[in-house]
Amino acid sequence: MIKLVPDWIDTNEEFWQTLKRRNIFFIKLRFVAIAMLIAFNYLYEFLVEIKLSEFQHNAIGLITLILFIYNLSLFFIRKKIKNARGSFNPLHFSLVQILVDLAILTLLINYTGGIESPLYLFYIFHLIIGSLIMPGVVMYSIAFTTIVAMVIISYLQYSKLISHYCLLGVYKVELYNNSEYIITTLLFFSLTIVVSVYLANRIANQLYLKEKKLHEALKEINDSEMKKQKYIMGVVHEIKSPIAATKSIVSLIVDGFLGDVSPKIKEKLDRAIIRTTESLDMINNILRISRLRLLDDKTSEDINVSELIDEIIDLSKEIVDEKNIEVEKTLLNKLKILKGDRVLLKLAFSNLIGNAIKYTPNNGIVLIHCEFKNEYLAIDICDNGIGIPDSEINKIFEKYYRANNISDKNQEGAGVGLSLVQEIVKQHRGSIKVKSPSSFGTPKYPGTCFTIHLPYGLNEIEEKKGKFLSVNGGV
Amino acid sequence: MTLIAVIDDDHDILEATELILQASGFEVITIDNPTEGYKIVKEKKPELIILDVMMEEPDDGFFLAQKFRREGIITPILMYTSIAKAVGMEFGAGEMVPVDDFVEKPISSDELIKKVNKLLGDNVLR
Repeated sequence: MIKLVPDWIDTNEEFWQTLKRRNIFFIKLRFVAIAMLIAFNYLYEFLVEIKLSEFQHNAIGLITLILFIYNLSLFFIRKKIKNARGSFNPLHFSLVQILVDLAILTLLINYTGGIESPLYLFYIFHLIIGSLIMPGVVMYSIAFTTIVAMVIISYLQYSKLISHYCLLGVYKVELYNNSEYIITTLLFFSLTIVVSVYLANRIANQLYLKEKKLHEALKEINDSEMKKQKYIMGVVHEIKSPIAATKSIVSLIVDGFLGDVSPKIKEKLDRAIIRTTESLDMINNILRISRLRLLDDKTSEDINVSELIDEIIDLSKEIVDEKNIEVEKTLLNKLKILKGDRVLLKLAFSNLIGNAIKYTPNNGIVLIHCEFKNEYLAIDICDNGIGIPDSEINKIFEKYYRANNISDKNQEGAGVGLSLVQEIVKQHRGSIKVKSPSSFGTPKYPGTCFTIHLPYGLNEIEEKKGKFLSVNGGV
Repeated sequence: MTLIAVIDDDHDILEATELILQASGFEVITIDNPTEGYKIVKEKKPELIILDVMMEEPDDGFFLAQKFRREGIITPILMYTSIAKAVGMEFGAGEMVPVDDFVEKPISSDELIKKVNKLLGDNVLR
């Protein structure tokens, strides 16, 4: 197999996709050419005073038919071609198309006057297109073959070894037997072909090199982002260890492992545990974001969202009972299984549901509504809690942001939660919106409503999109 | 009395673990580095090993656990982790690393005792 893809070209998915799109474009273009040929063969004579013989009509008609069948088969064959450097790949497919097109064009030129045929100009754009996508060696060989073909046709017609089929009416005198005309035309034709191939190939090469550099730069940015995230994970872990140890020790005292503790001291130690827990939650969230950015390794598993939400509600049972909050889950339409990363989605939903419960006063309501639409899953998580002030609703997904109406000192939070939720939803190609007041809020407790849309299949969408490198922002 | 070896480079964690386990009636030996830990486990043959995943070097705990298993030491291993759960790596028993269970730091006495009892129970059945 001829090696058409040079080693220095990065054959990523995008590269093959571009080639495939190009092949489809060629096929479509050829259908246009077929239409033009039909018009030329049957309509052109009525517009200008050019006469085609019956033989020419038949020959062009037959060639057009062959071209049509050939193009139709290309349309179906193209789907079976694999993207591999070593075997018959989309670039070989393009080469075959160029070669067959040139052969058919040569036949057409032969039946429309040889050196007198204006169709030889079509060689030029074929060779330019070829030069943009093929290695130089291949294109120079094709250019050389084309020139030789023109020389042979002109010579054979000139020496009457084959018949000359003129386009009656184009020229007032016969040119195919005029050696000066033949030599001059062939000379300039050859020059045009060679220079076109040279220029097009050179420009294409430069573009390839630029694109390669861009890809490398993008990769470097990604690599340094990875290093940064690893560094953050390392540092944050170092910070976590002493806090975890502190909490372990304080818990030990509170749990009475070191003897009795007076209620007054216990109360303060409980506060210490609450505060260290907060900082540990914050650290865990940062670690999670880092992991999300660091490893693009979302697992894709089947998730029953309804069960997942039940699990989360179960986890908050204690606080829900304590605050006497009514948590209600409703489902609309037949349940559909979602593909996604279970750990991450659970984290996102538990953040939202946790917030709803946390910021809703005693005896409040939290409604979770899942609607399984055809294209995506829509989840509403609404409450009649403290709500989010108008002036701040746009900022809540920002990192380290906390609404200023959160004053209760028992509700210190990291402010990382919602930014993490948004990141997870984005990673699943979904969207998240927030509304406050919610539909069932009161002036005192306006409430908040989060709406998440998630597509069911993570993989399908990613495949469609192709695997592009992406630059991620840092923590 | 059942002997449990605790290997961790954080002395506070060692002390906390020791206190919790002793209160539950276990005999505890604490070691603050993997080299020493390996030696003592070989010598004293505890019935349970508690091992921190990261000591001087990340993964020190994993390597030590692998070393024990390679040498045919089948003593149950309970691994202390500090970021595993946070970063979403919730291992199943024996998956990827040859340990029997995980406890995420900070240590909760209830969780620790529950897991220790479970592992020792499992081992007796073996």
